[in-house]
Amino acid sequence: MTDWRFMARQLARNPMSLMGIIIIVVFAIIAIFAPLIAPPPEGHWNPNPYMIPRDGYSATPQPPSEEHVFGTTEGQYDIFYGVIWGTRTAFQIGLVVIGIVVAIGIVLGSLAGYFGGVLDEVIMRITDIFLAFPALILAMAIVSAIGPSVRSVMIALAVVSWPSYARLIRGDILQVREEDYIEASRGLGASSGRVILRHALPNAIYPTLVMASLDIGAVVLAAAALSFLGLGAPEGYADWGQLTSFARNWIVGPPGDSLKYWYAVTIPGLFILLFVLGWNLLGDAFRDILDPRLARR
Amino acid sequence: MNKRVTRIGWIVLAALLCLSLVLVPGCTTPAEPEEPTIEIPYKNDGMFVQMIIGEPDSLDPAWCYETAGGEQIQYIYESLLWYDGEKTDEFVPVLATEWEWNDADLTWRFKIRDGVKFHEGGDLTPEDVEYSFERAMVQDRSGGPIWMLFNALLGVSSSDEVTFADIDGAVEVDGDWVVFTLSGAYYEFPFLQILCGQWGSIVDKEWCIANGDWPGTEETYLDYNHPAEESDTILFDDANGTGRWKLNIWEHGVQIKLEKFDDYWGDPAPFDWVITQLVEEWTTRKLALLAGDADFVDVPRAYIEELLDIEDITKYADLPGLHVDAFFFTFELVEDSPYIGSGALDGEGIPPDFFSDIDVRKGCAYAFDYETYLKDALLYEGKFLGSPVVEGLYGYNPDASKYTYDLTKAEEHLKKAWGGELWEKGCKFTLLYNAGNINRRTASELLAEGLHRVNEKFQVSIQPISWGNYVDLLLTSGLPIFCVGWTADYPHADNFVVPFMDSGAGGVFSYFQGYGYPELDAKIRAAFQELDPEEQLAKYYELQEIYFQECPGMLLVQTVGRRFYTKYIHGFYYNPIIPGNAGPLWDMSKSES
Amino acid sequence: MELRAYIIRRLLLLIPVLLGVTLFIFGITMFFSPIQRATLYVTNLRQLANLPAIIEQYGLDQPLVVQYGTWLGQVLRGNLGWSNVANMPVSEAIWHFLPATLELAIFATPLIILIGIFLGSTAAAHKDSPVDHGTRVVAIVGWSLPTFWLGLILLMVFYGYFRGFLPPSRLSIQMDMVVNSAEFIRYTHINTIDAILNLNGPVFLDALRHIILPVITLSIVNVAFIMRLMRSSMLESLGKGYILTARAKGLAEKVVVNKHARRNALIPVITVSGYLFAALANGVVITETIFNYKGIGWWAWQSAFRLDIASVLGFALFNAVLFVLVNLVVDILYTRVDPRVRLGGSVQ
Repeated sequence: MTDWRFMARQLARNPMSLMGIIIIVVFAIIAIFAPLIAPPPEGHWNPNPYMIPRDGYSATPQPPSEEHVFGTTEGQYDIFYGVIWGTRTAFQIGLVVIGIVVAIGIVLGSLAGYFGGVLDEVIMRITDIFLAFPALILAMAIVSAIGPSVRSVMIALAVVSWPSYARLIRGDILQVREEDYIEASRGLGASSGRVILRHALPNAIYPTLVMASLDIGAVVLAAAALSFLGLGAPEGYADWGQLTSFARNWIVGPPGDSLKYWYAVTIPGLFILLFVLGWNLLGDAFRDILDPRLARR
Repeated sequence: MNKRVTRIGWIVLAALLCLSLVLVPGCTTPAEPEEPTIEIPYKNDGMFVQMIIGEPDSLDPAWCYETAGGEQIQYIYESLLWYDGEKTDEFVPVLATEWEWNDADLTWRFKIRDGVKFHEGGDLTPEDVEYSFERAMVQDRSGGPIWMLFNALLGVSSSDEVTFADIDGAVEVDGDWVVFTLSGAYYEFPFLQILCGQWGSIVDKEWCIANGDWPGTEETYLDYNHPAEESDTILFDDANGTGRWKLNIWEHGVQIKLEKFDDYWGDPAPFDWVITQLVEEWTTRKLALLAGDADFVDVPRAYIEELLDIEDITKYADLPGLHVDAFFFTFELVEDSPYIGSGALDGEGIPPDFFSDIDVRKGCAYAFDYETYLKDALLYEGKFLGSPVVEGLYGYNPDASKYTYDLTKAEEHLKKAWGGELWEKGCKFTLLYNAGNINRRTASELLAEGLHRVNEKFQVSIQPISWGNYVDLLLTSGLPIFCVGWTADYPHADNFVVPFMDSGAGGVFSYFQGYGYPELDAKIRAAFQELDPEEQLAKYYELQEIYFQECPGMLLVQTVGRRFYTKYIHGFYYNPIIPGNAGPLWDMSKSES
Repeated sequence: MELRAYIIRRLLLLIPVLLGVTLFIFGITMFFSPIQRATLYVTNLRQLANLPAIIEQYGLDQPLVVQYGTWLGQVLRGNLGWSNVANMPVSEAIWHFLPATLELAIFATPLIILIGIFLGSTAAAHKDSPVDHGTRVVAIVGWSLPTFWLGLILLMVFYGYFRGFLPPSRLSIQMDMVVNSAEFIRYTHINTIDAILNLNGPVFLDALRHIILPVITLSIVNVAFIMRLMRSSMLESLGKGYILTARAKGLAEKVVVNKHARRNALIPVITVSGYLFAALANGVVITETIFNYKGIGWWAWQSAFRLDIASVLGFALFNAVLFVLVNLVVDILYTRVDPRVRLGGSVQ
């Protein structure tokens, strides 16, 4: 079993992972303190703080000003408010989806990998079925079915992502299954459940951790793609993907001043980029540290 | 320690490089634009290229009931007559050279033009005209446009209510003339308008029959009746008309190309090719227009400002369309609707018959900030109305009353509503709009805000849902207020008054609302059947006033459109009944000067 | 296991997968009420009164089993139904829209793989150096750039700013006339290939000119995927025993990397190329819309969006078959490259 302290020290030493951690921590702080950084307006008739307040109804985005630090989108939604509260939405989507997916993956993957046989075949065929369909289209169909909202996006992405995790964990369990300590504990009379939980899984889980941290960024990107196609959070909801899709028709401005509305897409896009970058660096760092076969120079 | 610093330094540098890629273009946007004028090159001589966002369902004149298909049909086919320029109540001859009305036997007689050729080589005869209309009535696809012919000729709504003999007898050939027998004298004028629609297009009888269409006789007519799919009719994507252009190719999902017909009977077509491309992305359309690759593109309202300063683009503005959008109150909601809160007048919801109280409706109508909506959401491209009859329709009253933003009056009505209980207890309900339609969202928000301003206890929340879900709720009376639009079939007030106010199946909206009553139905019928023009106008004015007074719907907005062309396109004029947006291509032209 | 038997076994497994995929989608459609599904057929509001008739006509209110059974019966007879989005039968729609996407894939895939392999192995060979970090960050930036942003910026620069140098759509209007004329034979509807087969230079160049931007957009976004995989698999193989031996023998580093490490690192890349096809299928949707390059991705998106169930099912079938075939090819290739792998074993 790997020493967690050793791992933490390795993480700290690696500059890339350090940067990744810093980025994620900064985002986490923003998310936690969102109500302080971008307070919801008082007495607004719509009490949901995730709905970005509108300053008027005009269609043309306004550039950054004193009142709107990051400017406004089409329909006068404040970008600053949107990206700050959008951090919460991003964490929400990322952590919930990956959490569900890893949980399902662990259960099904362990069962398939450890017990093998018919159970394995059945579970593998089921994952085949899900994987045989392009993720985005399937996600779109699911969101269309339930109705566009953040909740349906999370459900759709979870449904689409779990097969890869089940397979991954199954593969890792397969590798670990033949190890001596597994034989030993079985010889000692441990039940299958105990063997899986206490011995097989903890050793098999590291590649999953790597993939999970990489995927949190991927999930947020996928949610943004769904928003772009009109199947994500509702208009005016504080979601980075929603904000960038709002800017879709303003990316190319009037001829002669083509990047006039750069803030409408660049700022939310930058938040997405940094968020994804942070998790990727972290995931890469995990992989570099946890793989004992890699030569260290 | 040194190594780590270098490493971190490299990383920071790399990250900064990436960020700068993104930020620098934005931050260095110069204060003055680099190129104040953009020159659009002249391309594709002799061709009219347009990029739009809709595709036809079918090119069959008897099937098609939407504007994208209607537009192409009017380039390919022709009807007996057409509107005179910009007018919607005067006509010029096309395939008919003259027409006479006979009061005694309620017939319209049309003399058919000589020497007209079809694209595939046939000659136009009166039998072709008879066949075109009989074929349409035989086909009568459900949900199609032929109800208008049935109404006008036989006084019914569909082929199910008549026999073949009736259809046969409605249109007859008499030498060089074709005779239509109408179901009422009051159809004299509206029938001419109906004939101008794309369903009045003339097809080639011999060619149709040779290609497998209805042979024209009674024996097999039921086989061709109520076709299930578009592709069940041969004219779905094959065309043979008399128009200036013939169908060259229809690449589904991509483009439709029409080629000039050299044997056209009249003035030669001004364009050798009419190419319609389906391009959904606005930026791509815009860049194409500016590059000269398109002569005309669909421009969504939010982005018109960018095109205003460009000299090489011609803009035509203030074009009132025969279209109205409105908010409709549902008088009797279904009891378990999730959007009415508690379902009772207790401050946590609304009762199912909430909007049946006229003071509630009037209160809402006065609580809407029309000016802001017009300025910000509509960019001044709209006209508010008190009734569904829009400008451009025969029967329109330019002085009709309408609602204004008046919080005092709103308060007055809302205080009266439900015997004062509403004011005391407050209410909660949800406004829904179809996802993606930001104008409807804005309108919903303005209404919610207005109501909240009048009384803080009025709490309205807003929610988007998919179009399918929206229709479902609409049909099952689940939406407290629903918002849909209506476009004219023919430019007559009756075409709008019936769907909005009639309590029968023809009253598409009033039926779903639960509005309408027998006396009103009688008035509607009386107005349409009135033979004296002045009396008829008075009756329609009265109907418009009734709608205003009873306020079954609010925020009626007539869309006012505009068009953008490159400067090389000349001759555009506006007739609101022409389907599609490109305009009267047959009278337009393209040249470099 | 013998190759032929293996292939047959894998193809037989296709059937439960297809059944499962289509049953799943039917299950999703049961979330919609019959009225919601019927709105697909409504083009104007007057038809609202017609909905009960539409529902009956298409059997939209039948139980799931009945609807699925009817559909399955039709499919076995070769009828995949009617695509409302494309205005033609579903089977025709697939062949109508496939060439455009194939053309994009043909040009994008080698580009992505080559650049990915190059970047990945360079990063691995210089692990933890600035080159490594820089390459990785750049690749991640490329991956998290919204496709539509990249596409529209490229369009703005190369079509707008550079006066129509690299336009959208598949062909210019003039070349489109040539391609649709009687003299030009459209063998595959893939314009570049057809142009070569027809020995038509102008059409070939025009098609090329129109395909550059969408291919670049697709490549930039997907390169990160391959690059990271190549990097990690290179790192793995660089740590292997035979590398140490090669170094100990005194071989130049370059030889070590090129001859030994890289070749062995290619193994997972082959696997992933199979997954690349899935990744492209996703990225292509947005690219096709922006560049007006209507292919199967655009069609599938429109169908899913407008709930054109027949189209979605047809697309699902087609895609599933393709997926299984690609996996099969990949697995067989695998055995050719790595002698330790045997057919029928699971090498996860």
